[in-house]
Formats: sequence, C-alpha cells, structure tokens
Amino acid sequence: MSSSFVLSLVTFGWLACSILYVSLMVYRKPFLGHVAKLSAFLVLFAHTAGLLLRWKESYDMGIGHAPLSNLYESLVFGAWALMAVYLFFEQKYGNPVFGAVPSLLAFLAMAYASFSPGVDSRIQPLIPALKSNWLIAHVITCFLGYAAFGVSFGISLVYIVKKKFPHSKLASLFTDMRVLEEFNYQTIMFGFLWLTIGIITGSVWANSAWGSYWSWDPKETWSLITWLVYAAVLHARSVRNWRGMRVAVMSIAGFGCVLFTYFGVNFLLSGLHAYATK
Amino acid sequence: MQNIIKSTYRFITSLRCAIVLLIVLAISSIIGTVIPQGMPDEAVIATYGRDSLKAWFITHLHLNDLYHSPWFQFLLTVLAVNIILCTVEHFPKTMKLWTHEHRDLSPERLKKFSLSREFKSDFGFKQTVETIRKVLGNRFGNIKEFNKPIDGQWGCIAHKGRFSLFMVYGIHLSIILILLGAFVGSVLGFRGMMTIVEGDSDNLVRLARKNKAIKLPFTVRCDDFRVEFYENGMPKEYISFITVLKGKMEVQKARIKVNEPFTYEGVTFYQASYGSLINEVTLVLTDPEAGKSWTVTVKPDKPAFLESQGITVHVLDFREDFSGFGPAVAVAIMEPNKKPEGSWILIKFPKFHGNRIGKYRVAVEDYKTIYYTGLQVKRDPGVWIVWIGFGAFIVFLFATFYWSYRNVWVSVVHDNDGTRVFMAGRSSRNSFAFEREFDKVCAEIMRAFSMMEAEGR
Ligand code: HEM
Repeated sequence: MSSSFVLSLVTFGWLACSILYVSLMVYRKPFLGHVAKLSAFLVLFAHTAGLLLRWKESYDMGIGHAPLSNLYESLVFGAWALMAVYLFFEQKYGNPVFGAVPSLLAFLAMAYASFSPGVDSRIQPLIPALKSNWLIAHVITCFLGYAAFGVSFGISLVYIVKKKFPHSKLASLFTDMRVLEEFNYQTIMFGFLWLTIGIITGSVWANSAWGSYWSWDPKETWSLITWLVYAAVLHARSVRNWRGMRVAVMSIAGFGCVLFTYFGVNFLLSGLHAYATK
Repeated sequence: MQNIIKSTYRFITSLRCAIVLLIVLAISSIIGTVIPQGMPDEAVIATYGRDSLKAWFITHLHLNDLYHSPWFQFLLTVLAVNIILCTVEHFPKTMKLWTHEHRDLSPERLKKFSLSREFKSDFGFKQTVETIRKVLGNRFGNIKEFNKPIDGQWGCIAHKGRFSLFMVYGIHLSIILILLGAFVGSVLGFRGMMTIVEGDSDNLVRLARKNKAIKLPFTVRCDDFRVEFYENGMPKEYISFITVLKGKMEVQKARIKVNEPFTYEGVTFYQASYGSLINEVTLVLTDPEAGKSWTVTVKPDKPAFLESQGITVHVLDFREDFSGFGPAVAVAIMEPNKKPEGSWILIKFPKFHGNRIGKYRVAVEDYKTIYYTGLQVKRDPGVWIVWIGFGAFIVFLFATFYWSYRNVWVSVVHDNDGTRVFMAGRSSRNSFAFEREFDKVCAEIMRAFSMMEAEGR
C-alpha cells in the first residue's frame, strides 16, 4: 500500500468525521459524539501511518527526508497537526461538540493537497537550503501553533453563535460560556507558545542557511504579524480584562493572519520561502 | 507644558501604549511586505513617476527600506523603553501581591470567594485541625497558621508557586535582550558578500545596503566550487572549497555548503550564490564569400589577433542562459580604423542566422567556463545575546502560562453546632485546572476523615 493511497483514504476519513460531527450538532444524540470521536482517532491513526509511510518511501528512493518539504507535504502535515491538537483538547475538556470546524478544515486541506492540479504530490529530493534538522523542528512547531489557532478559531465561531443566538437548539448543545471561554484561552496560549518556538527555530535555521536570523522576508514578517496579533489578544485579556466576545473576534482575525501567512504569502508575495509554492 | 510631559510619560508607561505599539508595528510590517523592499529611490521614481504622490511617500518615508528606516527603528526603541518603564511601574504591584496575605480568615469572608467549600467534621476540633494540617502540608509544603488550635478557632493559609508572579517579567526582559542583541550586532558587526572566482583570492567584503567594503585581516582563496544535481535535475549541493591565508601562509582549509557555514576569527562565511564565467572559447570564423574559415582561441583577458584578416577577436561576456536559448558568449571584432562590431553568439545553435558579426559567420567550437562562488560574510557579536533572549523567552513563556500562584485558605470553627470547616481557593491563572486541584484537596481531606472513621476513632 502506498502512502498516497493511504492519504487519499484519510481525506475521505476526515470528510466522514466532519459529517459525523455535524450530525452530532444537528441531531444532538450523545452516541454520535462517541462515534465521531472514535472515528477521528482511527483516521488520525491512519493519517499518522500515511505520513510515516511517506517518510519511509523517501528513504527507499534514496533521498530520505521527513515529509515536511513542499506544499503537498505541509498541507498533509497541517491537517494532521490540526486534528491531533484538537483531539488533545477534546480529551482534556471531554466535549466532542467543537469537532465540526477542525475536521472540516482538515478535510479541505487534504482535498486541496490531493486533488488540486497546482499541488505536486510527488516525493522530491531536498534542495540544499532545506537540508537541515532545523527544518523538522521549525515546521512541526509552527504547525502545532497554527493548528491550535485553528481550533481556537472553531471555538470562537461557536462562542459567537451561542452568544448571538442563546436560545437556538444549536447553542443548547454547547457547554456553558465559561468553559468555552477557558477552552479558547487555553488553545490560544498553547498556540502562542508553539508559534513562538516555531519563529525562533526558523530564525536559528535562517541564521545557519542564509547568515541572518532575521531578514524581513515576507513570510517571516507575516508570522511576526500573526504573533503580534495574538500577543495583543493575550495582553488585552490579562491586563485589560477582555473576555468572551472580544477575544473570540480577535482570535478569528488572528486566524485570518495565519491563513495569510500560510497561503497568501506563497501566492501573492515573493521571498525566500517561495519554494513552497510548487 | 508640565502637564504634557506628565501625560506623555503616563502614556509611555502604560499598557495601552504597548498594545498600540504592537498594532502599529504589525501594520507597518504589513506595508513592508506589500511595497517592494530594497529598491533604490531612483528606481522608485522611475517606476511611479517623479511627480507621483506614491513615489513621494515611498522615498520620503523610506517605505522602500522600511525595516531599516529611522522611524521604524524609533518605534522599536519606544517599544523597548515602554517595556522597561512598564516593568518599573508594574513591579511594586507585583511585590505587593508577593508579600500580601489575606489574614482575614473569618468564615464570612471565605464564603465570598468564587471557589469556596464548607463542610462539617464529625471529629473533634483538634483531630480535624490535625488532619487538615497534614493533607495541606503534603500538598503545599509550608502552611502558615493563625490562632492556636486551643481557642476553638483555627485558620491557615497554604500557597504554592509564588515565584510564578515574576515570570512575566522574564518574558519582557527576553524581548529587551533580543532587541539589544540585534542592536549590538548592527553596530559592532557587518554583513556583506564576497564573490571569488575559482583559483582567485580576495579579502574585501562588499557590505550589504551600503556602498562600502571592509577589508578582512586574512585572505580567502576559492580552490574549487562544485554543484551536484539529483537524477531529476534538481540541485543537490553547492560546495565551495576554500583556504584561509595569512600573508602567503595557508592557515586553514574548509568546505562551505548551504546550511553548513564556516567561521574563522569571528567571521562567518555562508554559501549564498554562484555563477560561471567564460574562461576560454574556441571560435570558428567563416567568410561565406571567400569560402574560408579560421579558428581562434580567445580568453577574456587575451584577445586573439587574426593576422591574415587584420582583425582582433575579443570575448566580452558570457550568459549561461540567453533568453531561453541556452549559453551564449558576447564576441566583438575590431578592425583598425573601423567601428568595432559585436554580437551575442548562441553556443547551442551554430546555424542561427544571428550568429554573425560584420561579414563573418561565427560559431563556437568549444568553450570552457569557470565557476565563481558567492559567499555571504558576516560578523555578528550580538548573536549570542539574541540566542540567550530566545531561550529565555521560551522558558519564561512556559512558566508564565503553565505555572501559577495558588492560594488555599482554611478556617476551622468549633462551637455549639460542632466542628465546621470553611475552605476557599484562588489561583492567578488556569482557574479550571485549579478548581480541579481544589476539589482534589477537599476530597483528600474528606477521605482522611473517613479513614479515621474506619479506624474506629
Ligand atoms: C510594549 C511593551 C510591553 C509591555 C509594556 C507589556 C506589558 C505587560 C504586562 C503589564 C503584562 C501583564 C503582567 C501581569 O499579568 O501581571 C504582560 C503580560 C504578557 N506579555 Fe507583555 N508587554 C509588552 C510587550 C510584549 C510583547 C512584545 C510580548 C510578546 C509578544 C509580550 C508577551 C506577554 C505575555 C505572553 C504576557 C502574559 C499574558 C498572560 O498573562 O496571558 N509582551 N505584558
């Protein structure tokens, strides 16, 4: 079985999971929650296996490297990280009702990676600039951060829906506002921590590859902007006591910055990171 | 006047200023990613027109080199000053939190906490106090007691993680360190490029963003440069083999690859670019009318003189890819008392009709190129400060987010209603995790009571 076969199955797995999570919202039957959670763990397992298989295949081709080097691989890893972080928090807070947004995002990322003609899914050798162990540390940490912000984005949407329509059936499904707010805060802190480590490892890597730990390359700059936005969220919350609605809105704006850092910079701006467009 | 100074100072020391600065820095950074950076002023004027408002804005606000512009550097300085002053202003408050103890342990007050418990104990006052003392002591280490247990009123405070209150200062100090390191690097260090042709040596570094060169106290010779490719044609490795010379003496040999820089006496060399120059080219000149051909070998610094025709052949330039037609050489032919003539000669297309200079058809029979390597050269004495700042930032961020100052207050009252226990708790963050911990402490106390019961006391 090849990794690309496994990963295309995984794509449909995430579609199935998002259908389950959405039907949990629509029918509000607790057993659907259990089924959704169980399937999400199964698909995550298959996804992990697919990534490891791709890693092994690259070694069989004699150009072994971690599957984190081009747009296809980073989308696949991004989807993995999103669901891994989501399931980590779902376990911690014991509530499967937030799963619809992350699993849908994971499905979209996988579908885009697998079916868009603009994304090359072949395993390619590493160009000299990417031959560094910092690459692995950098990509993994950044994606953990992005994934947590994605989860926070989902929670924020839910929070806003619940706030605006407190009596709708949908809103009755979610736990009380305090849990939502705390859940959101925890994911933002988690994301900020990993994005910080991601920017720092990227910076150390740039220093060994290009001789400068910061060169204001558009991708670097956009990750700094994202980081500043979330720093503003944390300050507003801890010092100006912003809660709930405002934090949710800022988190959605922050996730917009994440998406721009990831996609917008590759497609609209050029720079050192432009290799990731192929 | 005094008022303006005062209110300016108050703003600079405020957190509102910090948030404004973070947002202003974010917006300025966005502008820098939209407007091309590093374009010289003349190029901006040429692109947008001398009288256009856009060109005026870009050149006067330095938007074409925004991140190094005085106003951006000024913003960063204000950020540093703001962090320092905000720390100074904030510190006494943290000190107060650090030393302050809620000594009022009356049940009325403890009941007011959002996290509070109340339960009855079936055991004597002394037994109850003893149990609570033990459980809290195990969980929190030190506990501070008020009132002697004999009075029928006992209270204690237990706390953990008081140092966590200071972790946020560590975060901000790390930011100052990082900015300081960047400043030291930009004042005491330099960054530039060296391009060295295989076999040549050089000791001049052309500085980036300045029309200046720095002379290194040693010389670098490029012995060899290699490019390796994968089977599919993608580049695999760029390698420069260099030798460091002091005077005529070879002091060190090194190999520089992308991601594997080389440092000598605090100066670091990075593989940044490469290219090739023509070293020797063999040309066949044909005069179609006379039906004759001549072969000449030319080097860039050694033109060939073709005596029978009275002309000199020069090779001026080389492109690895000339507008998609593959490699090409620029050749010029000079004849006394005539204007020199020249053309780009396509190497891979000898029959191309443009391969013609004056009356001669020109074809390349053979050519040899030589590589030059482009090394980025840097000295940055501030980089260690930046690394320490990075490390400290991560450590203090963890500590700030996942460590908290947790307090538990207990009051035991013995009166006509029996023995009652009042507990309250508060945490400086992660209130949910603390709620669970608080529940656990309460549960543990209950369990201790039930164990005493089981022991039949
Ligand atoms: C402009 C200068 C800054 C000032 C004056 C400032 C001030 C403060 C203050 C007063 C606090 C609250 C401390 C407390 O809760 O007792 C704080 C928290 C914090 N600051 Fe800053 N800050 C600045 C810049 C930054 C920057 C640039 C970052 C990193 C991006 C940062 C990261 C943090 C973090 C992570 C916290 C903890 C937030 C939390 O409690 O959730 N700060 N800052």
